[in-house]
Amino acid sequence: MTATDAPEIDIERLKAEIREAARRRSSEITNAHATRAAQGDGSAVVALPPLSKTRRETRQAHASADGGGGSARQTDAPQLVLQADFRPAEDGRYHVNDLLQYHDKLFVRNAYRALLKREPDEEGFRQQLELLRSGRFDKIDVLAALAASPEARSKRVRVEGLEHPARIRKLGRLPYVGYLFRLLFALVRLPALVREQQQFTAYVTAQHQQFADFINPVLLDISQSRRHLETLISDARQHLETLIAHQSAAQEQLRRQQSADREAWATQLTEMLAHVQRQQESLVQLVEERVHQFAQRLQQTRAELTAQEGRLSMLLEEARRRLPEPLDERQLQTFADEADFARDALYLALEDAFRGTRGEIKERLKTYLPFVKRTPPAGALVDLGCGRGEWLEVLKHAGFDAAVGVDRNRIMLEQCRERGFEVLESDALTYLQSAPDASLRAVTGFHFAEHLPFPVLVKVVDEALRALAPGGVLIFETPNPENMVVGSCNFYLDPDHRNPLPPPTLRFLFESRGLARVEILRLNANDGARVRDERSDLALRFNDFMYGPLDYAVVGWKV
Amino acid sequence: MPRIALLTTNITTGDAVSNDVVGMYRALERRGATARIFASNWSFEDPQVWPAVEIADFLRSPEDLLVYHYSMGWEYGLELLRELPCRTSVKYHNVTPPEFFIGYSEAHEKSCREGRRLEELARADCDLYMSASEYSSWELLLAGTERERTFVVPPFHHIDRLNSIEPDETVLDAFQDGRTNLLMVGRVFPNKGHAALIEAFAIYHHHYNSESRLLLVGKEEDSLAGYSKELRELVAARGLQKAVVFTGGVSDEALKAYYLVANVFVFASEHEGFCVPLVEAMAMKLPIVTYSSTAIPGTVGKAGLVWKERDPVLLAESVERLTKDAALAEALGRAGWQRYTEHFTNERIEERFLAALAACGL
Repeated sequence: MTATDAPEIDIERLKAEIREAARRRSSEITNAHATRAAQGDGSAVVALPPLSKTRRETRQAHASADGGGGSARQTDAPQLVLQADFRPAEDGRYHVNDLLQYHDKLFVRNAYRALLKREPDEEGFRQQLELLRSGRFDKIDVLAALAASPEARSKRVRVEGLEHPARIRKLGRLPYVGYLFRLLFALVRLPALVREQQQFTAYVTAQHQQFADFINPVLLDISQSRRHLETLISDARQHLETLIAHQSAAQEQLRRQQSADREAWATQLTEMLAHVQRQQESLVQLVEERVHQFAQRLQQTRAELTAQEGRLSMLLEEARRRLPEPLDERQLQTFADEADFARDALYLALEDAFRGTRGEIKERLKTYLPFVKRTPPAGALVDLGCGRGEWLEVLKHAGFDAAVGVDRNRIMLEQCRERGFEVLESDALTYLQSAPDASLRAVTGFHFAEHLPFPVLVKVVDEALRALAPGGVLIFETPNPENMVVGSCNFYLDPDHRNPLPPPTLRFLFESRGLARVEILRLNANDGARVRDERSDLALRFNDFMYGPLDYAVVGWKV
Repeated sequence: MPRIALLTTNITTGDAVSNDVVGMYRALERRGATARIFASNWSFEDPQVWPAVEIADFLRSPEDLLVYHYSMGWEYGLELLRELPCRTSVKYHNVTPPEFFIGYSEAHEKSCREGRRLEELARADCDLYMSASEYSSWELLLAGTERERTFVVPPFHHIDRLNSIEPDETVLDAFQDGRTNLLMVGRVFPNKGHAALIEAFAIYHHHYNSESRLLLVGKEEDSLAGYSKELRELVAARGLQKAVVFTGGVSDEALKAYYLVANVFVFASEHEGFCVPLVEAMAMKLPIVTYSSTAIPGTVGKAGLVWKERDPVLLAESVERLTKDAALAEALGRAGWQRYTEHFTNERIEERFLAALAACGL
């Protein structure tokens, strides 16, 4: 249910786009800045004129003045009227001068209203005004053109005094001779033209005067408004300054408050630090006292100990003087040996706990029967470190009667004797050394080699080789350190084990001391626990390292 | 079976706190609990409301529970919270900071000042504190309540009712005329940022779309006439008399109609404890454009355009973008609706309410 708020919209990107558009728009909306600047005070917002609206109205007024043909919008401002109003004649009769007295837009509009009895259409109005302003048509031409139109004729309007000058203007437009006509006509009309020129000059002057009369009060009004605005602005500024003053006063107060707070905190902090320091000092004092006490006590104890030692050595000296004679070396050796036997029970218990049940061991040891069966049928079969006698039992069952067990654990030897096996209490090396040359059929040591120091092991191999009959076999079984759990952990379950013996080491030992056809047998793999993923190389290697064979045997033959 | 009393000062139809009290009552009723509503003033018969002075007869066992809906200063409520021999809890609805009312209404200013006695609430050491929003829960925590006993439980609301009723035809007819309608819902109170909203609308109306209208739906109070008057003066000064509509308080039917005719929900409030209208807008799939403040960003999440900058051009531009891009407006509306269904339906709120009760072993 997470992240489903707006699955289709990237709000942050959208906001960035809007922010950018608003930034562009903001610079256009200059008024918006003014509005925002004024937002500090609610009353100021209300008092300000709606600037944006004023500007809009101004724009609209411009638009209508351009296209409206004189129908100016009503506004509060005074209207400047430069030309007399025109009233269409009810009987439709005009003198050309009635119309010629107007100029520019007003002329065109009035010509339409007189001759066509309607307001000009936009297109016609624009065309006529353009012709007139370009000088290609004069007013007579405009009037003549309008009067000649079918629309004007149907309206039956008569303009006296138009026909004659219109005809002359037409002649003036004839090719080649037109120019002469115009020249001639101008000459004839010169006095009248001069009079018209004077009239026009007077008209223009009058209009200028009218402009001046109009513009002066407007200017006055503007300057008054400006003064008013300036007052408003200065008021606003004052207001703003007051606000700023208030704000800075408030800031000042806040600053004072903060510094007071800071001081209060500083005092509090100093007090707290002082308190902590006091506590620390008393703690240090306490620790020093304790250390001193301990040191004193230690010294006392040491002094007492020295005194005790003194007393003890006195007693020993006294005792030595009273004993008949010191113990000799032989007696001491007996003591040491007897101490070794004192651990026999412990080893038996270890064997019981870790080596496996008697049945299991026997089952495993049957692996070696084929090797023994291949030896020539003469001489004894010796099991070094026979322990509880499992191999001796296996051999007895298989029909080998000349089996002998050698061990130093008296409890185990006792157990073997109870089962009817022939066993000897002896050191393995001592036993082999005492055996005649070529007198043995097989020498075995199951979980035996790892109990020996290596130099002793070498001697055992040498002596076994010497004592074996030709064709005899030497078999050692030992924990397999290729299995990492065995090598790093299980090997040490028996504290009497020395070092794990890797298969290559024993093979090398057998071969280098002269045994032949040496082979390694890896036994007792822990199949049940293997990782079951036969396709995975990793699993295969893992299985090898962790669940590989627990034991191995090295087998060699005397040639 | 412990008894549960829901206590509030005033309870009436149509205001956010009352909707929450009734919603909570119904949730407890459905769960089979023995619950009663207690208040000092009330205006309806169903569910039944009991006088607050009788609450001590109802809550007699230490296993009973008092839920005090705190929305304004009320000495008696605090007294009950401290002295009743049962387990206690508070639902904090947030109280507007009194500063907003300075210069408009001394009565409101005073009542809000007295209403913000959060330290006293915290000292009452209740078994459970519930607040309408993360923002409100911070106010409680800062006042000294414990994290483990402070939970956010949005208020129950009347949106299910809005969904089930028919909209008011006259409102639909009046405002479905092709003009773009911007809608704001909320009492005409000085913390609601009406002025800022009108300023932003002025920009939108004059510079983007003159065929637009701002509908301000919400009760006006005589005691705040000064504020109402100022807003109308502002509207006039911006030349918006024909474009801004103050509707006053409206029926649920009319409210639904306003949501239906609106193109965008706009909001510029400066203080909200949760803001149910935002959730109503989400439920109506109306895209939201708002300034960020107090609980607003927490309520809207990413299901609307929430602006940290209080810039009227940004608000106007956002409205422009949404009204010009129908697909975007629809997607944003849908996002709001999704947020509503995931977090703010009465069912979800009921789950959170019961979870809060359970978390405190109630």
